[in-house]
Amino acid sequence: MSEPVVIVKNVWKFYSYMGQRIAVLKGINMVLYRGDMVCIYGPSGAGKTTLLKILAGLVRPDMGEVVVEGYNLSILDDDALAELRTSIISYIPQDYGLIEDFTVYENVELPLLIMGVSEEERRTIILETLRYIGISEKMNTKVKNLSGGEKQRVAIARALVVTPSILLADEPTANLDWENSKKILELFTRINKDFKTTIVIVSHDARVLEYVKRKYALYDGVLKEQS
Amino acid sequence: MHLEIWVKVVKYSTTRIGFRYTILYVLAILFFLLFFNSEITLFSSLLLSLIMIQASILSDKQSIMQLLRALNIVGIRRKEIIVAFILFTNIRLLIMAIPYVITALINAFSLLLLLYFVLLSNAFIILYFYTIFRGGKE
Repeated sequence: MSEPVVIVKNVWKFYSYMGQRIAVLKGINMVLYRGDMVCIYGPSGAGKTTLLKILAGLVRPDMGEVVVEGYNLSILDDDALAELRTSIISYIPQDYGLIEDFTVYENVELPLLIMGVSEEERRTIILETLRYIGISEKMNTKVKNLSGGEKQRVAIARALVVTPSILLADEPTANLDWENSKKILELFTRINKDFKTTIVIVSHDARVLEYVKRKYALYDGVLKEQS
Repeated sequence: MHLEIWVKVVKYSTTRIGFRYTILYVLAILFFLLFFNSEITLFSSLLLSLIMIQASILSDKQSIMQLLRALNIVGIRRKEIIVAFILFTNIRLLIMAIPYVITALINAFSLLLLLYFVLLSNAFIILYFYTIFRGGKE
């Protein structure tokens, strides 16, 4: 087995609801290795998105620790977590998290602007990425004029442009028909194979399981690896 | 700091519908301040300006949330998200200040009133921003 890139140790997350403290994640333990492709599946409300956001450093666990590429996310401040999102971790939310009135190019350019990449270099990287993803012909189209499948590709391109070691995708097939879902999942498989990127897909769709190397089931805040 | 991002944010702000409302409002207020010049007009316009800022922000709420969320996802720092928000909204405040500056130049209005307008409007924006970020999950 290759080296671990993500180690999740006894992670708990609570939310308050009607004055009560409810545990969304109950002592999650998980190890992800370089080049892993994992699916965390379970019904809605099981805590999948919360877990993914914790891995992305967007939400902090109430207990336990998450170590990504040697960085303990639990003790890093907000700025350091933001920096990790520009270099190591890329997160694709369920609704893509794109700016609808920006073009495909402008959306994909955002992380590179933050990294301070020069204009010429940005252009090369973006064109290369868009070609790889298969959406280069829509480069100057506004995101609001794209289909769901194309938006998902743009979100993947934006995530991939910084060559992250971990790619986290929240329900990437939820808003797509099965034909488009298959194309997106095949794209994830290709990224995983070509770049050795560790990919975590959260889904409630059991068909996603055919495309991954390992699977975890998350029910009622409890995570179990499935064979 | 990311100058190119700030330029994009300002440009984005000026292409939203709320900015068009602001321009229309500015033209109307300029007309009133110039042709119906009195203290009542001035104070009413200051009050209306505050409401206008709110209306302008609310009409672009979805765009603002989309922008800030995208910036957060791609890893911009929290304080830079604050800068982006302030830039987005304050560009409208600057436009709104134009009729007052013109009127002040022509009619020699008290600069204290201008100061009052700027401070009050900024206080409002900061309060609004604080509410958004306090409620934000991502």
